[in-house]
Amino acid sequence: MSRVKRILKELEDVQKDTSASITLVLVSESDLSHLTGTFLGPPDTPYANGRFQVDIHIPNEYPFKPPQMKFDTKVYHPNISSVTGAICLDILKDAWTPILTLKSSLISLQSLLQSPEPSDPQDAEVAKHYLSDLAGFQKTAKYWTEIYASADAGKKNGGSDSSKDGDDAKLYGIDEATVGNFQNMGFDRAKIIEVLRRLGFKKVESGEPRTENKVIEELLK
Amino acid sequence: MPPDSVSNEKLESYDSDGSEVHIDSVEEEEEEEDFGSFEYSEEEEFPIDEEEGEELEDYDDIISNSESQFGDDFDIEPSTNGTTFTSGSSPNNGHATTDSIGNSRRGDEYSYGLTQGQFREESTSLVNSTPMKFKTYTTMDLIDKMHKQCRKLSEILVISQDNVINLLQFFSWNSERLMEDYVTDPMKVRKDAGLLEDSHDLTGVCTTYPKTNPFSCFICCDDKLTTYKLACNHEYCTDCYGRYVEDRLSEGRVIKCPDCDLTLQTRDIDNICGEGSSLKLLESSMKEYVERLRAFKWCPAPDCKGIVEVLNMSEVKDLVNEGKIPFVRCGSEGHQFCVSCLFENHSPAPCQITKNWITKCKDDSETVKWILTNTQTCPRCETSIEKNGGCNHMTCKKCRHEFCWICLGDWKLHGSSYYNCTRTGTKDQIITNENKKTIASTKESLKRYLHFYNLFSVHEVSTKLDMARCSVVQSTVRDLQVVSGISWIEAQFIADSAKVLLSGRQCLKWSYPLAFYCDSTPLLNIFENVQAELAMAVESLSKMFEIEDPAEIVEKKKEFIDDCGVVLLRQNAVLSCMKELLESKTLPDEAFILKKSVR
Ligand SMILES: [Zn+2]
Ligand SMILES: [Zn+2]
Ligand SMILES: [Zn+2]
Ligand SMILES: [Zn+2]
Ligand SMILES: [Zn+2]
Ligand SMILES: [Zn+2]
Repeated sequence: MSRVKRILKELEDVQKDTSASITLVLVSESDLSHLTGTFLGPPDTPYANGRFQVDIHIPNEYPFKPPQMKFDTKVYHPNISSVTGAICLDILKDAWTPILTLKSSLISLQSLLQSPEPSDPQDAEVAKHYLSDLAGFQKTAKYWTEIYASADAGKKNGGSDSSKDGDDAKLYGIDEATVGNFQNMGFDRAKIIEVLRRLGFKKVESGEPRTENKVIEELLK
Repeated sequence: MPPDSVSNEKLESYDSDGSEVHIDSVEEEEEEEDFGSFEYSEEEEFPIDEEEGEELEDYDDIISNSESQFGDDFDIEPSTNGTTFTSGSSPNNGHATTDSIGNSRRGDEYSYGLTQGQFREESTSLVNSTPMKFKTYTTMDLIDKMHKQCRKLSEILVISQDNVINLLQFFSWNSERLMEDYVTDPMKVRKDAGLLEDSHDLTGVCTTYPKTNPFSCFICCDDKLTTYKLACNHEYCTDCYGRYVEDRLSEGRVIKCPDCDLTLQTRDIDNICGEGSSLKLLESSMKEYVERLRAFKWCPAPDCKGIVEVLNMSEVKDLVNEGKIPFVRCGSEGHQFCVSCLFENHSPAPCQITKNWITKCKDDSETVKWILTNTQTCPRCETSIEKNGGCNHMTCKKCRHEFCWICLGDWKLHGSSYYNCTRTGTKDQIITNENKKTIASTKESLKRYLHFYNLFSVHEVSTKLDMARCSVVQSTVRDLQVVSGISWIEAQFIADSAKVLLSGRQCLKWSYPLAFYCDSTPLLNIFENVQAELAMAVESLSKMFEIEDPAEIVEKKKEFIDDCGVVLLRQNAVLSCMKELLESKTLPDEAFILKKSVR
């Protein structure tokens, strides 16, 4: 069967490449349709020094239909769902052609991290952050890379661990002082962060009573 | 020469003022925005005539305007190409039909408080759908038209027809833009569309390898003996190339080499996938082609490939503004649809309300999971009951409990003469002008929407069930004709009843969106009362169609005819009340501001 030959050849090609910027392994030796790939975050980006793991399912029609890929590692990026890891990338949909490979797809994901496409977002909240406050976005993306994609985080495999105060706000790029203000009013921290995320506010200045009232109104519901 | 006229001889021929297609397109564009000034125009009163024929025609009119549901098959006359219909003189289908019911109607006594005169007067002036002039086309007709356009362009641009097909597909069949761009910079256009820059037509090459030295294909990683490649030399085995092309034949776009931007030509496609394959691609690009031709409309019925050319497209805008529904019927299957909304004939609701309603339903469908299933448990004994007819009056097979499908309430509490369930409920649920803004988008308004949506979709489901029932009953009666020798005319009442049922059901279904967009006024209360009465009558007639025994059906002929009479009377009451509602201008503006997403 040509599909089997093709997948085995692709695996062999990636494993021959010793630069190790990309890896590709079968999840279980007996199942050729489920693989795990990893690649390094591109240098000079918030994703640098991170290793990102991708879950790969190969459809029966492969290579005529694209492989299904999603991030196992949590990534803060406009074209990747911060919740599910779903990816919005044309070559994994309409633009797929059978001469593309799993390796070339992983390289495409690498360059997607390098150059986000916020006009065609997968994660609206993240895309909004990117467009309104690039520096803030980069800070958050870097923080996510550190806690989810760094060498030691890799073993925990992206398990979210935000028991420490401050982590949860930082995780969504929300200003700590703003959260503190609402906490002083007696609101629950988790609820404050949930409402701020829902309303798309990263920071509420004390000089903006209207915005503040809107948040309070939501908090009181 | 304007390039569009190249292919539109037919369009030119009917435009009486000599102006070309462009007029139509401009007007249609305006139509999208200009819904601000909606007014229901006063129709000409039909002269009250004591002649017998008059009454027949009125009756006929209602029926002929009611065959709206897709898939009905009740003696719809085959649509004639280019037949001209005009309001008021409806096509006389089934005279015998009309006679049989018309006569018995006159012979029966009515106690509805309405005189027959009133009934007659209103029926002609109230039906608000207007048949358009149209021609029907098949897919093959259109393919011919496409080829003709390609031939002409190929002569003008002095390139092969194959190239023209590629270019037109690349330009989404916008021949005007293709001509402009090609004349300006042919090299650039050819390059963008993936054609070789010199206009020599190089067809790809099919190679056969010897067994001793086979070709190693990158896609399947197998050793193969036959391959195909374009001028770019990207070579793949014919199996893989074939599969690649096959997958793209239905996408209606140019197909490129798997590895570069070079485009496969008609002959390449036929070489790789077999003779005639390129025709499949042409057919799938027809959607874009038809969209270019403003007067051509696809039949919106599911799985229907019918295409209709509206000959008096320029009248659509005015008709819509007058609250009329410009409808056509697609070829063989008698599908009737509104050419403005591209939706089933939605009489009595005007187009603006329909468009808003459809958009609203689409927008809300994600958040509101109101999936109406066809099973329900009896509210008394919890036995599962399948709804197997259109009637909403349910009787539990186990405990004989009678209840209403819509509200699950006791049917008897709905009263014998009053179908309570169509009512909006308590006064405070109804949105008035004063508090409209404050409670908009709150739970109350969602609740109100759901109430109407529920009613609307219950009748949509019922329509399908009615249609299924009606066709079964019809064939039963046909059997009976054969067995017991009842004449065709004798048995026609069942077909007529089916038409009346479906017409009444349609009127009822589309009256809910109308009520949804109305403010609470005494008039709306009256409207809801007549709506409720119509619902009662329709359910009663629908129930009749549950009779399976042919002999019993024939026995109950008089009941069928009586029930039909009630449905027709009440339908007219709804239509007349609706006319008043539209004239009283209590409709909020919201109903007339078309959302951009409608397109
Ligand atoms: Zn191959
Ligand atoms: Zn190529
Ligand atoms: Zn049709
Ligand atoms: Zn319409
Ligand atoms: Zn029961
Ligand atoms: Zn009810």
